[in-house]
Amino acid sequence: MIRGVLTAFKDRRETIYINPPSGIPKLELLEVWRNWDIILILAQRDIKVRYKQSFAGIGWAIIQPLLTMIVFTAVFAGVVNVNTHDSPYPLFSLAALVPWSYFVHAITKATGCLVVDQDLIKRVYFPRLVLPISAVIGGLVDFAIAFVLMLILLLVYDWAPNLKLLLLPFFLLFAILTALALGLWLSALNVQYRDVNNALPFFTQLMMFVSPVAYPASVIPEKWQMVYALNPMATVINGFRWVLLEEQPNPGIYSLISVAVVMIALVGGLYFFRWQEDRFADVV
Amino acid sequence: MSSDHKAIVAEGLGKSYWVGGHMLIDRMGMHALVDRALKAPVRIISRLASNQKPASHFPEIPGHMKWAIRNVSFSVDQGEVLGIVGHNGAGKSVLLKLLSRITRPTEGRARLHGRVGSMLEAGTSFHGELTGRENIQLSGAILGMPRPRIAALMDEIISFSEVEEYIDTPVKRYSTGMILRLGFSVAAHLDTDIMLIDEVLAVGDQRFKRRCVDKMRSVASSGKTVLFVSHDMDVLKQISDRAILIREGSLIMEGAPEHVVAEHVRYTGKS
Repeated sequence: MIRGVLTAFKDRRETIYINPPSGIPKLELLEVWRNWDIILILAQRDIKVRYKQSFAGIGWAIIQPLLTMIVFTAVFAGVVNVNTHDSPYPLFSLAALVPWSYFVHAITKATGCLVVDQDLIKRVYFPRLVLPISAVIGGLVDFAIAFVLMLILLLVYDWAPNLKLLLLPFFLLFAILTALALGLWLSALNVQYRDVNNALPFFTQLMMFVSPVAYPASVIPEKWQMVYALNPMATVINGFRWVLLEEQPNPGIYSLISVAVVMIALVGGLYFFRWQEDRFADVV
Repeated sequence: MSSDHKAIVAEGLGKSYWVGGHMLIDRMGMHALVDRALKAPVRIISRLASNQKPASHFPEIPGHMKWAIRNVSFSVDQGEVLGIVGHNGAGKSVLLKLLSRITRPTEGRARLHGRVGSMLEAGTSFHGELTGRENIQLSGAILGMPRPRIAALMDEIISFSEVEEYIDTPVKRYSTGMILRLGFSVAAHLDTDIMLIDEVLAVGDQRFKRRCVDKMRSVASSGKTVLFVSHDMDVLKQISDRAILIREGSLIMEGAPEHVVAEHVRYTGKS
């Protein structure tokens, strides 16, 4: 008896219990953290693979926001004449397009991740949460490249950085969490209903119109600002503009609504994902 | 000896699948689904008005439950090598999938003591656009090897796989045999307490197969617990300490490998 206890004490190997699914799933985020290596290596794989056999290569990370900025500038500054709080329109729109491009990229990757990597899901065990997390993290490389473009354009316009810039990581983190929160729901749903993937480009396009990408959030009437803040990307974009451009107003108190929305969607998404997870290998 | 010393204990494991479509649309048909959705308000109001409980949420669903395996109980001692014998579709792979946590059981439970490495098909985590070397890093990490360990074993893995010449070529240019060899090589260098292995011995030509068997034998004699499925009865007899026979989802025999294999061969010859 005592010997048994002693050997059990000496033996530090973990024990794995296998049971049928029941009740509310445990999140086991610690296990996800322990598999950080896999998150990074999958993100690295996606980046490497995406630009192999591609002529423009990593340049695609710049081409997309740059061309959109040019078209937006021609239309919204040249023809429509949008009020930008006195910021030059190219800067005004690029400050929004850089986080917006990241968001679209991350959410698209995250939504498809379980289907794209179904061979892994069917044949190797690892915490499945690793896949959507790695999808939103992999997009950061494109973000970084696009952000360099932003900095160059700022310097062209004689930009003087100020202390607000230190807040940028928070708004970036908020963009990552927004993409992850949505990605958790959509990826799990996409396993069973591929409609999700088909509807996604349309969804992100609609979402761009209700986000202040081409226009300032201040054009929304005050009484609707609260509703507008239900879209977390509005806060991300307002935040980016505020920290990068001198003349822009701060995101305002309604940002807290966005924060609440993301937190609820994130926690709900984690549970939803874990709940659906048991069926991934059987259904995908 | 108490069951605390067992590496694997499985008690009444069972896994059922739904045969005949998973989706609600598959079950009901698009028309029926839209129809139900449109009539839902009327149905709910009339139910509330009459204060009746709903008879059933969904109409009769075509299809049926099929047990891939059921009531499978066994245990494996630490350091023991257990062979699993059975026909195609008997449920061997499902059993390994349950033990490696790829899917969860419908009933029963199991306990594994120690770190688990599984190899259910060689080279599945490979990506065609990446080189052999990059794929070793990827595959090793996904199978649970720490990065420094992969780096340390890199040369050994490459030389075992015999694809040195092409190691910096994208894997999509490899032959099937080369991919399988590289895949086996990565998994063979996993350093876990328990190894779950499915069919990987059917890899490559006779010579490489012999090397795989040798590798397996050295893994088996190194004190690791190994559970493996193979259709190669000779290899199975050589390597395992004990074997179980699975037929139509049930465990029907357990014992010395020679006896289990003999029974399997006898039954195969009969049918």
